[in-house]
Amino acid sequence: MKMAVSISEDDCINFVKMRFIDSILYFIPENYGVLESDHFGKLVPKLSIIRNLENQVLFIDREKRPVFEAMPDSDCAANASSTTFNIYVYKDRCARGMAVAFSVTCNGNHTLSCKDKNISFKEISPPDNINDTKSDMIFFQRSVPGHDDKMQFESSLYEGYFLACQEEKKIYKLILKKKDEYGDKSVMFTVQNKG
Amino acid sequence: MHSSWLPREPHRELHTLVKARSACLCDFWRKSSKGAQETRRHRRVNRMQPVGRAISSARSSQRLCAAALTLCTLMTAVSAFTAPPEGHSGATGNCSFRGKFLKQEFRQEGEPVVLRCPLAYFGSGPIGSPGPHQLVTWRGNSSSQLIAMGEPRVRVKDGVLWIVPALRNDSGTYICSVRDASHCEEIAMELQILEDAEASLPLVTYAQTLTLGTDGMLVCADTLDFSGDKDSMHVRWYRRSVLLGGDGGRFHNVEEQKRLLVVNVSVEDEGPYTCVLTFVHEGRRLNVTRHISLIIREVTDTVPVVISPLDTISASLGSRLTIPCTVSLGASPPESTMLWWGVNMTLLENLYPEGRVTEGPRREYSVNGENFIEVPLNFNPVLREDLNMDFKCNIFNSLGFQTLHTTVKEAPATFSWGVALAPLSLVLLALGGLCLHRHWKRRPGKTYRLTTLKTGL
Repeated sequence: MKMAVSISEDDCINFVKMRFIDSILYFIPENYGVLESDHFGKLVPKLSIIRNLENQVLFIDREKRPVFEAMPDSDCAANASSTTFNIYVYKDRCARGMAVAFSVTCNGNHTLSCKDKNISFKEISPPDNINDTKSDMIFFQRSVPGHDDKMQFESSLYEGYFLACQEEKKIYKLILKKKDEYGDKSVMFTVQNKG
Repeated sequence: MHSSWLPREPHRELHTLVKARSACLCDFWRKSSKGAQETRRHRRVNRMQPVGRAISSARSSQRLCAAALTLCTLMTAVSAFTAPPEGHSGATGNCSFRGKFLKQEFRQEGEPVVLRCPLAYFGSGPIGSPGPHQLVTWRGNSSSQLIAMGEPRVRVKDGVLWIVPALRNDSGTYICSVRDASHCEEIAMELQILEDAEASLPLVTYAQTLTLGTDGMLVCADTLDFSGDKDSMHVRWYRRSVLLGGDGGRFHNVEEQKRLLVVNVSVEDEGPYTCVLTFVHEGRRLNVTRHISLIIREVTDTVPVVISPLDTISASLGSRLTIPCTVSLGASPPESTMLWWGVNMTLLENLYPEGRVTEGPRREYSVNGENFIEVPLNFNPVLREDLNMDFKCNIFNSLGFQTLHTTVKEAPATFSWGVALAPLSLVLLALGGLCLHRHWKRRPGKTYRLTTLKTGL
């Protein structure tokens, strides 16, 4: 999305020149710097195992839902296609944190989404470019202050909402929740990068 | 691989059936809401399945049971018209088969084993969350026989299969079905009971990672089903058969959390640990053993230090220019650090789609154990419009991010008017000097007058 306006010194809105070429509207700024592009650009992925603080492994189940289960290493390796996540880092023009998307390649590509504050998998690969400053697929990865080995993931779409693990009838699900208390361990995860 | 135990013990089966018949009436009364579309196999099984529960419910009045008898007879008549089920792995009657659960359950013999039906986990989907209107049943793969509640060693309680203790021939596929008034689904789970020997350990060991130099906790893994009564629960931690946590050293047993706190984790702490959870289940004291393999991770990530670029770079318009962004990572591995160039409020590729200004290839190198990353920004060529731009080198890793700004300044031109005019000014100076000399020579009085005037002041 290109912004067609720029703010001048006297707070008036100046419209930049526009031109139609082959049915595409181009904005022609006099100064390129005033045009702003909302954008996430995909970089190389890292293969990772994500665990909650109960040391349970995150995986995509048969119903395409993200859940945690305690798994011996052999089980985790045997189900690598369901337990190994590609964490794609994105360039973010706003430089707000490490912008990441999670995908898992298990019977097709699945990308984690927090659309409508529900966590689900979209049956797509993470897009190369996202022309917005917010996306249901982009989370900001930050280490927990004082615990460099623990990570939290804030939604770029819903500020203040984090990926979290929630128990329901002895089952541990990945959910999106508003972080309200300091030191809430349900929003902390460990990320083990594979070679 | 053996899959079931019931069929191999005909006497027990008979005994169970007899018990089941006596419980049938009330049982069918309770489950009448499930509808009459069940298969013959399920019918037989359902008679058997809830023995324990049925016995407990047998306290209900005889009148109730009489009503149930009528219903029972009616439903059996209906079921006689339904087709017998197909193979165990396919759809069973109207029960849709959801395949095999991803996780394979490996346990050692002698351990208590709990299988929880993964279909009953979720609130969404056709089944809905398990509740009073849902029935979870279990059977072995090669057997149409449901696992009865009344078995002393193998039993179903609240839809969860308990095998206490597990034997080698319990290994096999187990199928659980979840049904309510309108739906039925089933899924297969694989259970492997291994010999209680060293060779089995790799299959039952849970890897856990702690960070060197920090305090961290090991979790007695996969014991969530064994919470039971908190007061009667005990956890002991061992390393090489030595009990940990009792001597006030670096290991502390955080029993209520089933965790072992390790203070100031060191490299020597790496290796195998064992936790033994003792709890009381239905009046029996049970031990659950879990094997943990502790991996020590060194936190190597440090905040990157930017070496270059400088705030301003001088360049000649029209020339090619490369500005390297170089960061020092110390001992951190380069793969955990991202580095890219941006311009003003956007990314390079947005502003320069034609590729005049591009980001060069990333280079990782190491000098005396210190890791560096370098990503160049290439101009081909530098234009006047670049002078107003804010070029930014963005560096991210898990510990944070930083942005370094740099601008391009027009370098002084190589052709200087000062240098070009120097000989000319020399000539002019010489000529001027010559003129003055001649002038003074012709009019000496003037000098005197000026001098006089000066002294006169």
